Amino acid sequence: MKKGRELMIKIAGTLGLPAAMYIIMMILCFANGKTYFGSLAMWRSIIVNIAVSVSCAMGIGLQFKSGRFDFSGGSIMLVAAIVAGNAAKNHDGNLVLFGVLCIGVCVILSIGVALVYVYGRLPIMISTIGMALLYESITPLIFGGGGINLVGNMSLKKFSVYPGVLFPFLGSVAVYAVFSYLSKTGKQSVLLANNQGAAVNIGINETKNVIISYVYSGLIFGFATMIYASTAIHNASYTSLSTAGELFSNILPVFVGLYIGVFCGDTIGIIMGSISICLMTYGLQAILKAELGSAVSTAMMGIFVLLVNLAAGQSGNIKKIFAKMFAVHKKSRAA
Amino acid sequence: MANNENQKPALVDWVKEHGTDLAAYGGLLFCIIFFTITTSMAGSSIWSQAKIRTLMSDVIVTALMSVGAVFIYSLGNMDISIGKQIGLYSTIMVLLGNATGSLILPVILCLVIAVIIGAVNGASGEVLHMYSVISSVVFMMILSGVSTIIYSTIGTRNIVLHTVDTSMLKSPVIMVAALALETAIITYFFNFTKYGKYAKAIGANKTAAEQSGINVVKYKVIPYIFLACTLVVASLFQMGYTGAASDSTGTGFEMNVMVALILGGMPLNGGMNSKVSCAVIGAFTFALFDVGLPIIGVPTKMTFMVKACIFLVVVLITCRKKNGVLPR
Amino acid sequence: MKGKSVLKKAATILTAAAMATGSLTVCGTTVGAAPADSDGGKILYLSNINSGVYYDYYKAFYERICADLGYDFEIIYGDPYNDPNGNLTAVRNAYTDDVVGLITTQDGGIESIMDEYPDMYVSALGTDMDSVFDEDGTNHGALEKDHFLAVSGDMFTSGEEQGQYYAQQIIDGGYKKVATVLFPSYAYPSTAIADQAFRDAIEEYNQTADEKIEIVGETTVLDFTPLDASFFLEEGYGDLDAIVGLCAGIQFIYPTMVVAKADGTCDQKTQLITNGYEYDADILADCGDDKTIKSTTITNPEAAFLPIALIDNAIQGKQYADYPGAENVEPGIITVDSTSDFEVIKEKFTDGQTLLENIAVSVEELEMLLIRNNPDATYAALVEAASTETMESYLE
Repeated sequence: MKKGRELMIKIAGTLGLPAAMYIIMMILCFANGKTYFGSLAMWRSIIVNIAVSVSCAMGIGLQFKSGRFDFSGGSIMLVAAIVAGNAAKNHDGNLVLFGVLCIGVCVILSIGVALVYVYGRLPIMISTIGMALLYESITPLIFGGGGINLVGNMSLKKFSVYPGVLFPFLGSVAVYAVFSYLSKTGKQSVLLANNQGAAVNIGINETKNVIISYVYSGLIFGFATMIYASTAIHNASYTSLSTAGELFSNILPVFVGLYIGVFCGDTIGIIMGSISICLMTYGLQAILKAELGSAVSTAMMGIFVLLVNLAAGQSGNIKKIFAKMFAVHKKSRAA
Repeated sequence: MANNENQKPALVDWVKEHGTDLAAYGGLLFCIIFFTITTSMAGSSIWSQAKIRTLMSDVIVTALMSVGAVFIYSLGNMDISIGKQIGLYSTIMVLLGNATGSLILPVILCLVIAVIIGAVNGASGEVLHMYSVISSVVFMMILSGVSTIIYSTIGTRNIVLHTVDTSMLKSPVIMVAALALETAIITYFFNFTKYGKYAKAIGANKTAAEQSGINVVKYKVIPYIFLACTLVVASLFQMGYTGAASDSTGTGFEMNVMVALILGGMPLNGGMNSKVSCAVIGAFTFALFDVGLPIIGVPTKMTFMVKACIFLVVVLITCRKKNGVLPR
Repeated sequence: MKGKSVLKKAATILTAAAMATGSLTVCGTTVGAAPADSDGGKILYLSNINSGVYYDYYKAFYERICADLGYDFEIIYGDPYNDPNGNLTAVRNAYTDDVVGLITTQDGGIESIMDEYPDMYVSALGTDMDSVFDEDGTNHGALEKDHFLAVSGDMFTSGEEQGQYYAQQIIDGGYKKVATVLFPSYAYPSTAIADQAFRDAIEEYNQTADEKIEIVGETTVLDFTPLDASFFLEEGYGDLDAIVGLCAGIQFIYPTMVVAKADGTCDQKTQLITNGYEYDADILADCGDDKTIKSTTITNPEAAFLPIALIDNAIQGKQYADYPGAENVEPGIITVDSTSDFEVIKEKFTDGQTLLENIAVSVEELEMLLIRNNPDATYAALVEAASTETMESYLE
C-alpha cells in the first residue's frame, strides 16, 4: 500500500508538470481555433524541438550537476556543425561521415576545454569562457567563414526530422543515463560535487574524472549537433561570446528537470522539463501573432522558470502548509 | 650589503603578494606599449585625438557597467540581465525624452526600475531559496520580450532622441570624468564602508558571514542597487553617443562585463581579492584590442582569434590556482 | 618553485608569441589591399552578410574596382541587428586617416557615422535606407549632407510595385489558393505595403476572373525565425498552391516546406515564390518549373557599381552633370522562374569570382562610366548600365 502510494506520488510528480502544461496549452489553443494542438502532426514536429532541447540540456546539465558552469557548449556545437556539415556536403552528403564528425569534433573540443581546466587550473567559468572565445574565433576562418547551411540538404537533414531525430535523441539520453547511473566517473562526480576536498582525499583522481566527464558531455553535444546543424542556417560567429546564450536558453530544462528529478531522477526530469517548455513555446506561438508570439513566449518562459524554481525552493514550506492543513482537517473530522 | 639582502626578500614577498595585480596591470601595460609602437609604425597612432575618442567611446559603457558589477561579482554572483536592462533603459530614455523634452524624468524612472530589478535579483536567491542567477535569467527573458513588444508596437527597429542635445555625452572629457567619478564613488563604498566589506565577506564564505551577524539578504541587495545606479549611467552614455536605441541595444553586454572583469583579474567566485580596479583595467585592455588591431592591419576575421589567445594567456597568468583541488 | 618558474617562463613565451603573431600581421595584407602605389585612400564596405555568393562577389568586385582606381579596400562587419551603436562602433574601429568613402549595406546609425566623419563620402548598396528617405526616419538628417550620395536599393523601391509584381506572378502562374509570409513591418516597412498591394491586386483580378484566387488568412509574419511547422497545420494552409514569401524565403520558408512535404502536412504541389539566392546544389535542384521553389527574385550584380562610381566621382571632385542628388535607385530585378533559367544562374552564380567573370556588363564597360575615364559620362547612363539588367541580360 505504502509502496503503491509512493509510486503514485512519483508518477504524479514526474508527469504532473508536462501534463498540466499540455492541458493548459490545449485549452488555450482550442479556444483560439488551433485544433491541431495535440495531433500526431504536432508531435512529429515538436519532437525535433524536444530532442534539441533535451540533448543540449543534458550536455550542459552533466557539467552543471558536477558543479561546473560551462559556457563553451554553444561554441563547440557551432564549430562541430560547420566542420561536419561542410565535410559531409563535400563528400556527397555522407550521413555516416556527418554523424561521426559531429561526435568526434565535439568530443575533441570538449577534451580541449577539460585540458585547459585541469592543467591550466583556471576556475571553470573562466576556462570555458576562454575556450568559447577561442572556438568562436575559429568559425570565421574555416570553410571561408561561411558557416553551414544544411536546411535544403535532405540527406543530411535525416537527423532533424522524424523518425531520424529519435537516434540522436535516444543517444544523448543513453549517454547521460550511463554517465549518471552506470559509470564510475558519474558516481565520483557526485562525490566531487558534494565535497571536493574529501573526495580527492579518499583517492578520487579529479583530473581523470573531469576529462572523462567532458568526453561524456562531448558525446552528448555531438548528438545534439546532429540535430542542431540542419534545423537552421548557422553563421560563423563575428561577435564575441555570441554562443554563450546557448547556455542560458538550454539550461532552463536543467533547472526544471533537477526539481522534477526528485521524483524520477534527473534524466527523466530533464526530458519532462524540456517537454513542458517546448509545449509552452509551441502553444504560445500558435496562439499569438509572430512578433508578439515570440516576445510573449520568451517572457512567459521566464516567468514559468521562476515559478518552478520558486515552487522547488519553497517545497519545504509548501509541504508544511499542506501537512498543517491535513492535520487540521483530521482534527476536525475526529471532533 | 646587509641592507640589500633585507630589501630583496621584502620586494619578492611584495611581488608574490601582488602577483595577480601585477599581471593584470602588466597586461594593460603590455597592450599600451605594444599598440603605441605598432600603430605608430603602421602610420596611425592609437593615441591620436580621433583614436582616443574612439577608445573612450568603445570602453565607457563596458567600464561603467563593470565598475558596478564588481560589487555583484564580489558576492560570487553574476547578473545575466545587464544587457537587456541597458536596452530597456536606453529605450525609455529616448521615448520619454522625446515626450518630455528632458532626460531628467526618464533617468529617474530608469533608476526606479533598475533599483526594483536589482532588489529582486539580490534578494531572490536568499529569500526564495533558489540559484541566484535564476532571477537574472528570468529578468533577461522578460525584458527581452518587453523590448520586442515595445518596438513592434512603435513599428520601427530604431528610435532616435530628437528633443535633447546629447552631444555633451560624446565628449571624451565627460566620459573620463564620469568614469573617474563613478569609480571613485564605488571604490569608496567598496573599500571603506561595510557595504563592500560585507559583500566580500559573503563572497568569501556566506555561512561564516551569516554567523558573524551579517544580514545576508540586506547586504546582497545593496550591491545590486549599486549596480542598478551604474547601469543607468551606462545607459545614458550608450544612448547618448548616437542619440538612438534599438531592439537589440545591449545584446551581449553581460558577457562583455564578464570578460572585462576576468581580464582585469577579478575572481569570479568573489571574496576578499575582489577589486574595483579589475573593471577598469579589463575594460581598457579589451577596448585597446578592438581599436588597435585594425590599425596595425589585422584582418577582422583574425582579431577574434588574437583576442581569444591574449585572453587565455592573461587568465593563465592571473587566475591560475597553483595547488590543491581544482578551482570551482 | 621550479614548476612555478617553468610556468612563468611558459606564460612569458606564450605572451611573446602572441605579440609576435600580432606584429607579423602588420606585415600581412588586409582584405583587398591595393597595389603598392595606391594612394587614393581607403574605401570601407560595411557588410551585413559574411558569406554566400553575393558576399564573395561584392568582395571580388570591389577589390577589382578599387585596385583599378587606386584605392585600398576593406570589408568591415556591421551590427548583426542593425543597431546604430553597433554599426558606428564597427566603422569607428576600422576608420583610419586614409578612409575616403564608405559603402554601407545597413542604415542603422548612418547619420551618426556621417556626423563623426563628415569628410567621408557615403553611399549604400542593397538597402532602401528607409530611415534616411522617410521624413520621420531616424536618419533623415543624412539626406541633408552633401557627402551622402545615392543608394542602390534593395530590389523594389516601391512596396506597391513589389506587391503588384508578385500578384502578376500568381495570376500568370494560374495559382488559385495562396498565402503570404513576410518579415516584421518594423524592420521592413515596404513589405507590409507590398502585402497590401498584393491583396488589392488579387482582389481587383477576382472582380473579373472566372476562377477567383483565394488568399488564405492574414499574412504570416516571421520574426527572423524560420516558418514554424504549425503553419501547414492551420486550416486551409495544408493544400496551398503557392506561398508568396516577401522575405528571404529560401532561408526562412523553404526548409519548413521541405520537412512538411516529407511529413505529409504540406501538399506536394505547393510552390514557393520568393526572393533571395543560395548557391546550394540541393536547393537549386529543387528550383524551377514544377519544383518546390517556383521562382526567386534577386538584384542584378552590376548594381554594386553605382555606389563606388558616385564615391569616386565625388573624391575626384567631378560629379555627373545630370546627378540629381541622393536618391534611392531601384536595381535591376532578376526573376528566375524556370528550370532552364535556374541552370543558367547555377552556372554563372556559382561563386563570387565566377559571377564577376560573367556579369552582363563587364567591369571595363562600367569603368568607362566614371568621370575620370569619360568626362562626358552621365548619371543616366550609369543608372542604365548598372541598374537595369534582368534575367534576359544573363541569357544573352
